[in-house]
Amino acid sequence: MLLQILVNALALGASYALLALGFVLILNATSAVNFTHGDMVMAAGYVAIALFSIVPVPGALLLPLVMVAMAVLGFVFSWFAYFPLKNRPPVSVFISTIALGIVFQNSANAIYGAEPRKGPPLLSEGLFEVAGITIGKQALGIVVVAIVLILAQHLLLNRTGIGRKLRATAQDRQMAEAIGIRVNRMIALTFALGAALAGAAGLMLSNTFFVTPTDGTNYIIKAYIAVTIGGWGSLTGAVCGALIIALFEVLFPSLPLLIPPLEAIAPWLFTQTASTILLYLGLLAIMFFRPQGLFGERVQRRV
Amino acid sequence: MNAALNWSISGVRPLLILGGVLLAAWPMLMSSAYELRIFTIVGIYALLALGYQFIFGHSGALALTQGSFFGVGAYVTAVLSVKFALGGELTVLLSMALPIALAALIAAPVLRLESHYFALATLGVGQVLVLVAVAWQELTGGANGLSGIPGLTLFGFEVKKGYAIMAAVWACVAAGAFLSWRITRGLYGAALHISRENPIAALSVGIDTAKLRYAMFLLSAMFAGLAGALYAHTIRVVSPEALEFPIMVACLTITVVGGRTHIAGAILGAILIVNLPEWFRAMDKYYLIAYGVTLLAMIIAAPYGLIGLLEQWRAKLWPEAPRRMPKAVPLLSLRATGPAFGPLLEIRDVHKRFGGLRALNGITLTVARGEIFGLIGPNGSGKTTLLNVITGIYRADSGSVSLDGAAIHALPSFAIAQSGIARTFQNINLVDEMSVLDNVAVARYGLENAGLGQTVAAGWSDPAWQRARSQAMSLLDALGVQSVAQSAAGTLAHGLKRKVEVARALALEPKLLLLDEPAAGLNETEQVDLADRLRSFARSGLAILVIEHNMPFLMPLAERMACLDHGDLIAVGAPADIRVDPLVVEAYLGLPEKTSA
Amino acid sequence: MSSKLLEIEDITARYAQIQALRGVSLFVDQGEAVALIGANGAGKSTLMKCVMGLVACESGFVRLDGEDLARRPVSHRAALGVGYSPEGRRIFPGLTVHENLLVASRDNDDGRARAEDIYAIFPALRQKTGELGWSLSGGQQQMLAIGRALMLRPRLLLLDEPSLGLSPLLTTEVLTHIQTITASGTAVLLAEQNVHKALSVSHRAYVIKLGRVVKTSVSSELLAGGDLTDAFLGA
Repeated sequence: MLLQILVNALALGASYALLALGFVLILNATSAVNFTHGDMVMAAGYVAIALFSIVPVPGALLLPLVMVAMAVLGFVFSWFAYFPLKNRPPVSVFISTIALGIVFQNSANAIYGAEPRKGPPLLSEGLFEVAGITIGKQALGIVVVAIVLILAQHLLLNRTGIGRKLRATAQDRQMAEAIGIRVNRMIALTFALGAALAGAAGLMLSNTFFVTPTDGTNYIIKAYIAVTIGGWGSLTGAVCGALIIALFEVLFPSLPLLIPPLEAIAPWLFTQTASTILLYLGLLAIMFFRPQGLFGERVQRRV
Repeated sequence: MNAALNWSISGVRPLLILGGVLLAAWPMLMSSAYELRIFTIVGIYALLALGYQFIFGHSGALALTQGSFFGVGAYVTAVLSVKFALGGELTVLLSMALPIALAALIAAPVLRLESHYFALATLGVGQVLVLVAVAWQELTGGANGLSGIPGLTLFGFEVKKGYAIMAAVWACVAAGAFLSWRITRGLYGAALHISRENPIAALSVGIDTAKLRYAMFLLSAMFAGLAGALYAHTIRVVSPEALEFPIMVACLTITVVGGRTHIAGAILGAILIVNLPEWFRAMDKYYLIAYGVTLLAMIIAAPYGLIGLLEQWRAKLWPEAPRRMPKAVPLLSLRATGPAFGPLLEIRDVHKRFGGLRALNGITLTVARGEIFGLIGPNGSGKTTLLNVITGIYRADSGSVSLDGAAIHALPSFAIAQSGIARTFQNINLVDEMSVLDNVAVARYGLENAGLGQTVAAGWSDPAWQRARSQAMSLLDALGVQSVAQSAAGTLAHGLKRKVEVARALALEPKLLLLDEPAAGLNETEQVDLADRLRSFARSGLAILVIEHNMPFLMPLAERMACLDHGDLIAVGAPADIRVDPLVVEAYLGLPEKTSA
Repeated sequence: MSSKLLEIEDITARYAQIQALRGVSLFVDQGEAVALIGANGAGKSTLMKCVMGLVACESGFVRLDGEDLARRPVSHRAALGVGYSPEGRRIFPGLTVHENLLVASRDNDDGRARAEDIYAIFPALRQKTGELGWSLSGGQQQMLAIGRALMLRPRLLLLDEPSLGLSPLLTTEVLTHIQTITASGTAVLLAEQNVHKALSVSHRAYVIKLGRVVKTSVSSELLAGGDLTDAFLGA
């Protein structure tokens, strides 16, 4: 029972981790907060649904297609939301991404309607039996895929020439230009990469949690909480923060199942709603007491 | 009479006055109850946007709570009037009070964050509220909400549907506009302006930027709560939709499209955005997409909104004649300092590290009243760091800084400015769009004890602002730049900007003036002129500390000098002695200078 | 065709709203080391940034081997043969020493070979090859910044204030490498506050004061002459 809950938490955490990673990559490269990042997750869910209706294969096979499609979307997106405003204060980019988020959300609504839709599973829905323990196939699949993608992203950034260039651009854009890097291309590529990761998260979440046009707002807040807990700007922190959120979201409401007496004490506390509220309150507390999170540098303060 | 006429033809006001007349006439031309209702909703959103302008426009902080505060106000009204049958006079007040309390609560952890972090944090608050509204069914009616909300009743008198509620809403809009005008004009308005455009400059002239932002945040919540209450009484149903993101989106779009600091912008924006789905019936569920595209287009092409665009066009096509300048009044001389013995500024054993780098290593020096003190040293020696420690921008790791015997090293930088230390910056920190006169006048904020209450209570023209401008005029005179008083600060040549910055610093009636490379960029004539003026200020008792690399400027001016090198104080004394001090020469040249044979 | 590698003709430029350069002309020949000396604020760094295209020249020319650099984007400089070690070093803090070098090279095989050359010039870097940039000391960062600038075998190395934040001993150590660099065919333009050290490692020098060249000569003559205090401390 506990194991099942933990695997579910891990699966959710893995999806959130991909989402948070993409968010931080874009943040580091551009100092811009991409409000649409959550909507990318939602968009990917619909892309997966659309592809599945044409070619009914397991989600794992659709994954590369979805990621490529989202990379293209991220690339194009940066031309509208970021490059026209790159010399303006970062707030302008935030507003432009809010604007495009609205366009995404309502386009999805116009095409698919507000009813939740179910996305394709990675392999199949169903259960696995290992050493007397039952684990969901989807959950396991998500964890495996996420680990592969996170490793791939790590290898790309840390072991390839292009990855070095991306990191250099994120760390000191002017100096990167001075040594000959085409920084605009690097930034566009970062958007594409971030969107692809969000896309993977979207596909994986679409089966367990369904897809609705307004999911985006919820996901961007999760990304934000993960990054704040983990430390603003830190990739490791983003992954850790994501896991912590997922653990809380899945474990907390399930506590009465593990410890039955709790149900009698405060049944209203162990609901999904209450745990989400507690999560946000926890976020406010972290920002007050330890704004740099677990791994990050001090969050920028106003003067 | 003349003043009123001048006021009404300045800027885009003729257009706005015409617009206002049309707006007032419009309800009389309306035929259906439906149109009337739309017009009422326009008013409600105008009120919401007016409130939003305080935090987003005037303070420059992208809060995403305006929709949430609106929803809270709506729910308070709904719950209190449906479940407790309370009258409007109470429910309206509580509908404003609860959002204010909420704003005060969340302000503490989030208001000091940079803009976009702040925005996402406030978004989280909104999500929580939606969840609470849906879950707390006994109170809020859950997902279905509360219906059957009675009309607005004030002390037993019911405001009926149709014209009555519309008039009530627009009366609130008028009152809100009036309040907004009161708050954002004059000295307080100028303080808001500089706080958002250049927070460091604002702190250096003694403005508590955090307090201003906090007040604006609470004010925005108050307006939102009122708008929510009126909304509840107009459509008579409140559901979780009132808390959801589309309302925030509409509010943001209205403010960006209309103009984020213009009262007319809130109204114009509301008219356009609320009517968009009506005018483009065919768009149906696509109208929000149109909002998104509009918002994107506006933020790229016209970040100051339609009213901002109108103002730009008017300025280009029909430039205004300069207004009459205020008469200069003699400035109250430098305020009485403490006991006339003992040093004015005492720096004792100050240390400052940045990570592994030792920027200041136990600096001890004093500056006397009325003394001109020069601070030199090679690049990276710690001069600007010392200045920043004195003015409170950096906190020293150890040691103390005292002004007139009172320790100031633990005070926030705006308080240090208020206690009598003024400064200028290496890179000029004026507000480019404000006039030269206003740039200087805003520094009188602390001395005039300006504040929210004072600016609201003042009459047609803010007397504190008039006084400040007169004082500023005399300061511009003292620096010889009175002829450019009406020009926008951004249009000035560098040498003039430098003098304006000095004038602004003097407006604080400081005991000590800190100048960071004041001669940089000035030609020889300007340098001589500046040096002369500084000497005359020192003669009247002002102590001046000058950081400079320009020795022809500094040597004849300074009475005493100190030299820093790699964070150490290596020499203090008269300029002639410093110039030949072997340690100083070595610091600059690298090796002792060979004397010519 | 002149043999001059770098030709700067009467450039004026503004930096942070100030008229930082008021008509500066100078040249650097192939393979020589030229020093720019002058007080802070004189315009040395601005001059370097003009050559790099990081600051716009209002008038005048900057020519590399006869080619006008003005209209070229910043990122072209590296390919054209200009290496830049900026004021404050600005090595990439989150990249290792080895990565800092590789990221400045064109492709990886040649890059790896070239990195070996750099380690030969700066053996101290070889020991730190896997360390992240931010953990290096000031002197190590300065050597890395120079090494990074040399990765593409530039014809001209712009070295801006290497002694900033370094002890006199380290400064000497860093500056003595200039001879090795010029010996391998790269010209060096060095902006430096530390006059004596700059003059002892360069062939010629220009003295800059308030945005103008006030003196130019062979370095050894300037060192012997001894009337430089005026440029810095003169009233």
